[in-house]
Amino acid sequence: MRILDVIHQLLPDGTSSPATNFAPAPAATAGHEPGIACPVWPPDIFAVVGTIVDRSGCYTEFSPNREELVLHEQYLDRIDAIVKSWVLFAVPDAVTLQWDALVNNFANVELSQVKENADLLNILLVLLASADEVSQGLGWERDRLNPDAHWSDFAQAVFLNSLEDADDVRAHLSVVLPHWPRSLCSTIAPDRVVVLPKSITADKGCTIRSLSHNLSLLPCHTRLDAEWRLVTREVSDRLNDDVRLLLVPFPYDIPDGSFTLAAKRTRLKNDTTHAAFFRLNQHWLNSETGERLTGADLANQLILPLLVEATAAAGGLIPHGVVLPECALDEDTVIELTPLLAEAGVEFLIAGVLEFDQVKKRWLNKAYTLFLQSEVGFAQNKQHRWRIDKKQAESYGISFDGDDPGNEQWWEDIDVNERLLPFYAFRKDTSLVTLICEDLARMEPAMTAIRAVGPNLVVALLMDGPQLAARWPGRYAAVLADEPGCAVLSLTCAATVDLSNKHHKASKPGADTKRVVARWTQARDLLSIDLELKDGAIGMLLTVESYQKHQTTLDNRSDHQNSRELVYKSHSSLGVGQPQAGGA
Amino acid sequence: MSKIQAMFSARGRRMFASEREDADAFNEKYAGVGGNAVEIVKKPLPKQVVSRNSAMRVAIKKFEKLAEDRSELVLLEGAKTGSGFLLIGEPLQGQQEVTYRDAKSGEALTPQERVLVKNLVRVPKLNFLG
Repeated sequence: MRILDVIHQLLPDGTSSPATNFAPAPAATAGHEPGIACPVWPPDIFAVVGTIVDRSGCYTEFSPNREELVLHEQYLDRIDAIVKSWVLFAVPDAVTLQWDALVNNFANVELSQVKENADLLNILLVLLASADEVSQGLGWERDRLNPDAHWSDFAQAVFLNSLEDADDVRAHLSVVLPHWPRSLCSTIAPDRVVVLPKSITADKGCTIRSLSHNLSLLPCHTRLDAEWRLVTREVSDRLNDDVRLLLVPFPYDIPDGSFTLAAKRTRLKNDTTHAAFFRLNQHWLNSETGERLTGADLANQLILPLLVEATAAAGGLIPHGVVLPECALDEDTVIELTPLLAEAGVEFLIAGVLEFDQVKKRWLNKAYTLFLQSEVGFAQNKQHRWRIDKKQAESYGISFDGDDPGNEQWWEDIDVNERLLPFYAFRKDTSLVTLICEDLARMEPAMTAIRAVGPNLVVALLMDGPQLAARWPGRYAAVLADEPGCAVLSLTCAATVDLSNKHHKASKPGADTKRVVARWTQARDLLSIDLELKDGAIGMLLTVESYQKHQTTLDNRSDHQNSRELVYKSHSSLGVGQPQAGGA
Repeated sequence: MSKIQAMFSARGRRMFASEREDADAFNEKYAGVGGNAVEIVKKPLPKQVVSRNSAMRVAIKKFEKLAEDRSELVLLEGAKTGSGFLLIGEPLQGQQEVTYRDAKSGEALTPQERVLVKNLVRVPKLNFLG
């Protein structure tokens, strides 16, 4: 594949340059290419050049030559000068000249030969770096506490596209991003390639992820529907850089009958078997008399008292977020719960929800990430099914397939077709993403996007055993903390932790067990911490600190400390001795 | 759409009052630029103008026909104005009158639309943004 083929693939209808027709892909023997105008919008340039760089693997050539560091400093100055001269709708000549050189002089270079051509490498690096640098702030909001901070018209344009307002502001939008929030690109459709904002620049390894501070390159949206959402709240206690999370490991008990057989194992003619499936029934949402737990019950009996206690423990500061594990609630409970939490001043709720899609007649294992103060919220589906094996079923003391004693595996009976992954910019420089259980462990498709974007915080909701470092969630969290450098919080329910610990003690008398309902894993020092719930406790306050972080790209461009890293500060158990709602 | 999703915005947060002034200033600065599609065609009128969607291609054909009929230098702008794509006529050398007409109806533009057009003309180089 040649450079021109990549351009044609990404821009089949051209860049709509004045007085320039976008020629059809010429024969391989074609010589000089007609001009294909430089895209006006920087993320489009990044998408094209980034794809060439990624597919050719030439990012390995972009580290400074240690014998020519003075020349490299001149290159850095050159990028600075280009960025300062670049204004919305007017690409500097320094960029268009590089672009024209790319399409006119190097269009027929095979991707496999890119690394061999020093002039071409130089062009690609200048274009990629310039587009990345001028995109600083895209997808983020203005620093409202520091109005003098740089805020480009590029960033303002994306900001205005990110707002809900359908009134006169949006009606008069002068820059309409047709694919936003799926992609920052203008002329490149997301079924070709996706460009999203970025939080963390990978400082390990040598990939295209290490070559940009502000833009990330993702695969096409048909593999994964990644999105970027602006959800910041108006009032920010940014004078205090803590992020406080109330962890509620609900339910505390899983009643009998909560796991049932949805489909038995079936033998096929070719000596294989079609797997058995199990289904979850949320009996923990029923009282002893069979009445359904309401959101008000849950708030008044469990979460609001924990909030009060957490607020007192934090010196009067209410937790920013409340987090509940995988499948903890149903939709109606969340609907009733959210106004009460919003009224209490909680900024966001992240909760696992089991839901039946009445239209498509399928069960969905969902995560709701709801920003209560800014009234923005989204649901996403679990992307991979849980497979319980016999050993795990025994550890939880569950048995639901007595007619098939030889069976050792049961799959979760949920639909995994719709794969949405929203990234949330919840501070002016901090983002988070939510994952559901198995999605933390599987490499595709979410991990590719998470590695590219580098959200500051990954929240994984689980229904799992103790969150010990050696178990799978801890291992996969450590991978993300290592590269790109995310902080990862995994939270499971107390019920499965207690069941697992009970089984462990029974099988190994005298064994030490801990109620580690959550785990914090961070990039700094690759610290990984047991978040252990004291006996009798029903909640936990986790406090992490947000620090400015200095990052550099492979080609030594600085981000001037524009990024953040979240670092563990403290955790404390809550609600010791309090009555527990729902399954207590 | 699920019930819970209906309670929340599926787009993004609302604009804070403190941000209104900045937004208005931005939109005023770039009024008429962008929108669904934007392109300025300079002299000489090209025989072919590239578009990435069929609606635009239809508009371009109309635009080319009108341009031919009127012997005008024509600027094309595809921002959403409620009246379809705009045609902007400028006088050729030696002519005095400027005409502004809508691509679909052929009717003269409103004063507001003319302001939009003039803002567009000030922008040195544009591209499709939608």
